[in-house]
Amino acid sequence: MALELTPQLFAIFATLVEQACGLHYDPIDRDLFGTKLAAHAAELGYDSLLDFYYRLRYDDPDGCELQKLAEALVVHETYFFRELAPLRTLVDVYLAQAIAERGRARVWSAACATGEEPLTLAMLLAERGVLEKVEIHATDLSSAAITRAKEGRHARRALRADHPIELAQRYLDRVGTGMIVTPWIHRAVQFRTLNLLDDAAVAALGRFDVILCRNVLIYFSDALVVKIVDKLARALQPHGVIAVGISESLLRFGTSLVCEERGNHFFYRGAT
Amino acid sequence: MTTRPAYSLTPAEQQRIERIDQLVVLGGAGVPELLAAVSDTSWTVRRAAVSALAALGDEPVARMCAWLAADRSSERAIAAVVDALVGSAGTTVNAAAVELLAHPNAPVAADGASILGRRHAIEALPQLVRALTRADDNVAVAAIEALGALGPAGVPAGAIDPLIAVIESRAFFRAYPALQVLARSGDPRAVKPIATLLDDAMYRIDAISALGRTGSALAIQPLCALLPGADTALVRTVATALADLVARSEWSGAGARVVEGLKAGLAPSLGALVAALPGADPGARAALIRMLGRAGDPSTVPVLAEFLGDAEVSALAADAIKTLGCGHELALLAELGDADATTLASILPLVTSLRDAPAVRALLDDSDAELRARACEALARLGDTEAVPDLFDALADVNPRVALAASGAIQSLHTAETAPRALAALATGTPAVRRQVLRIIAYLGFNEAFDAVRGATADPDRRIAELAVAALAAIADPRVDPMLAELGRSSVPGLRAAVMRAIAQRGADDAANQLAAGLGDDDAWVRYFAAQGLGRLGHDAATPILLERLADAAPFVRIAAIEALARLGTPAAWQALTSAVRSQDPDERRAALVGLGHHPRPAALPILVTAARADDLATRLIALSGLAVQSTGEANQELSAAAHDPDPALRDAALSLLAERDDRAAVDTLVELAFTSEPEHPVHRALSRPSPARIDALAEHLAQAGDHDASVLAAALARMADPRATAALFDALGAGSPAVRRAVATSLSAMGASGANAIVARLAAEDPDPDVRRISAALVVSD
Repeated sequence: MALELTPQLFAIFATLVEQACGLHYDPIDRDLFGTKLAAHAAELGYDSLLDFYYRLRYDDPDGCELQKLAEALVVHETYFFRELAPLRTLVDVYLAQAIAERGRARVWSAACATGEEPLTLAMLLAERGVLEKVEIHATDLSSAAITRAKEGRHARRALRADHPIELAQRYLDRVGTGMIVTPWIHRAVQFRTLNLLDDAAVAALGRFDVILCRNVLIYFSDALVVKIVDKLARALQPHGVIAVGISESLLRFGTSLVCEERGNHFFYRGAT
Repeated sequence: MTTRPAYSLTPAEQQRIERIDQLVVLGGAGVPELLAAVSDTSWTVRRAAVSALAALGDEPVARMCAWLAADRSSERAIAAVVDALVGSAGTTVNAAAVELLAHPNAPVAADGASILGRRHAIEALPQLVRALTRADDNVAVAAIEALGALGPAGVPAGAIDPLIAVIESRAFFRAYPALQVLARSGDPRAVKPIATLLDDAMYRIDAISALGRTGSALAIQPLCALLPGADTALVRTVATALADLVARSEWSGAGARVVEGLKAGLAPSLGALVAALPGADPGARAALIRMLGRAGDPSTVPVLAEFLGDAEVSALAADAIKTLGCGHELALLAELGDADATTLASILPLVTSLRDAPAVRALLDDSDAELRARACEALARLGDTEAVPDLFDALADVNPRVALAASGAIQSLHTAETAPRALAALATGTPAVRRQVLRIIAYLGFNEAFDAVRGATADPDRRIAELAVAALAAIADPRVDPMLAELGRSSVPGLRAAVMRAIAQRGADDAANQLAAGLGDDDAWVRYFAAQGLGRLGHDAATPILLERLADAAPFVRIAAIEALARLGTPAAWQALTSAVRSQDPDERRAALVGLGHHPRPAALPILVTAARADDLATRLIALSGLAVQSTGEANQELSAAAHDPDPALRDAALSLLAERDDRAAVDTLVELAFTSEPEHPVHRALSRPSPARIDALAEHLAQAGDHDASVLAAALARMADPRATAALFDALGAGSPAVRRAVATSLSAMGASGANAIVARLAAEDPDPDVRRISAALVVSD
């Protein structure tokens, strides 16, 4: 079968994708990678993955096709109120402090997928009555995901069991088989496409009090995690923090960041 | 002299290390100062002194032993001197360590034992066994640990009975390490004495784990006997040990016997296993799920299904359900009602009965795309021809993965209504559906579709037109070839490129000429597919025009030309490949390597060997494939090295390539690898792929093997579960070597081979070797 991903093809495709957008795939991911790759290649009319590879490698001058492939590969699985407790801590401790000191604060959700995470944060800020004092930027590699985030329509599975019912009732409205976020909450978040490997684009965002980079570093190689974290650290305000997923840790990467614990959650602060 | 990373040293340390390097040059005269340096405060300096003393061979051995016997100034210095003796290249070290072992001062004797064990000094077996009876616990414990590390295979057969005596003594400090050593010995004699410790609360938990580590079917009964009435903590511990036992038994070929033993042993305790699941940590949960699968009772499927949504154990739960076999579909489908997406996705591959097809079909409307795709795959697997209309509907799915899965399912099911439905969908479907339908026609080749497909070649949607050309290629109609010739003159480059592929696929009389003409097309992709097609036709006369394309402006055309030349057998094509492997472009190099690999010529060998050591994985993998075809000593050496590579992708590829061959050189390479690899290494699995030639080769190796090698080879034959391999094991019992008889008796008994019991009983009574008799007796008594 021409769309079968042999180990050799996996090696060259994985290298190509990692060089282009940093997504890292181990051999153990070959089946998953192959399924998504084959579907994407077939959709474009290819019946040979090698033909598709040559197209991406030699006949994609603006990287547009490779970008589409990257979008097809990334899982946009996220949901409202995911890992809520650390978000509450960020609002109650770090953002509250920044607002108290400077009257305003800035947050960046660095891999927001279809937007559920920054929108959840906006809800928490609204609950505290400080939403208008916080600038929320939300970016993702996938333009398709950002388009959906901008539309503000979310699937039924974007709300899981054991969510905070009061918050959901206040800020989410069921529409058909999905739901939409209260418009004024949605307007508080600025969505845009951004590749974390793009130094200039990251620098152009400015500095932040809080950077959310949760459940995304698993997609990168260790070497790239170090580079990206370094880049994020440079985008922090002097007392800003980076938040990663509950099951993630930056300690093993030996970055310059200092880990600190607040309310049973760990955050990373730039070394002073 | 070794190069050391200077950045990690202080200037003072650097100075002292340089002095050590000077002392090495002095030989014996430098030894006193080197011995003093083992007390240095710096770890780096001490390690330098250890390396220096070890490198001097026999020269410092007597002084070091005297220092250990008399000076012993600090713990860190003692550790350094012991390390130096362990690493020493001297030939007198073992004898000197035996003297230390006999020293009346217990710490000195313990150091002697430790040195002997770490040096795998098998000749010291009698002295170490004697040391088990020393009054000082530290000496005895050091001797026990040394016995555990003595031979290359671990515990030598002669140490088993003395270690059993240690266990039976129940001396508090000695029994624990003896338990650990015996557990990993693989000797059946160890099981019963370990099991006797289960009655003693002080040793019970360690004994349970140790029984699991034996990997012996003999340990199942005593472990399972603990389950009825046990509290949940004990049940989890036992399940963990049994899971360990199962994993280890697979290496020895005892898997089938263990499965049977577990079914019988776990049957009375299913309730206890289920009750221990809530609150278990992930490791214990995994073990409990594994055991429920092994227990073989389908009534546990609903319990297992609850864990299909648990990311940490869902794969294990799915495996367990699969192990339980047919008859569980209804229980699974009860889960379909309100299960989450993860659970459903795990259930679908497990459904095997056509009865359940309606429930699967219902999932084609689920909001989760992955579930819809898996439902398509499941329907194809179930052979649910009634699903074809629904699958045609699924071709319109917005998710390409689902549409592709639906298309694949339709191709797989291929019913009488497929063609009419395809034609109808081609006439009225959305562009996305029409593309999928054309893909189906290209695969199944409906002749009645000619007119509709011809019409689609003129479709304004570029992808539809190109797929229509591909579909035309699959239709057996005399009008197709002239039509392709006509389409080849289209002004649309994509269409001309598709025509090149179609022409190559059909291989009509004039195909080579048409493709040759395509090589001169203005569009690079037309040239690409033309070159590819000429390679596919294997048309040697195309060599000159393909060689011209090696200078094409488009890199992918150059690559296609290389790939095509790789399929031709002309000298000029070969020459071109040997040049292309030096290209600046990695893809050109790789394409050339693939070609060189196709032709097992000696001249390709050095190129492939060099490529096998390249920086990038893809090049290395391609080179290995080529080397596997070469079958020479040097090629096998590279494959063997790759099989030890830290990169699992490379290692697995090398092993897989070697396992696919059963020529003597390949088997010998695998055997050598197996002798030096841990039991978990995949080489053992590769070695146990049955084939007559491999069985013969292993039997020949076995006839001459020592203790460790015999157990590796006998286990490989046992794992084959092949009557010819079992016969080879029986034949090997006639070998002169007791080591072979020990290993073979253990393997035959472990796998429960028919007739093994009688033979093992005869060995227990009549074998001239006492260890063979004892091992066999343990196997007979416990059976």
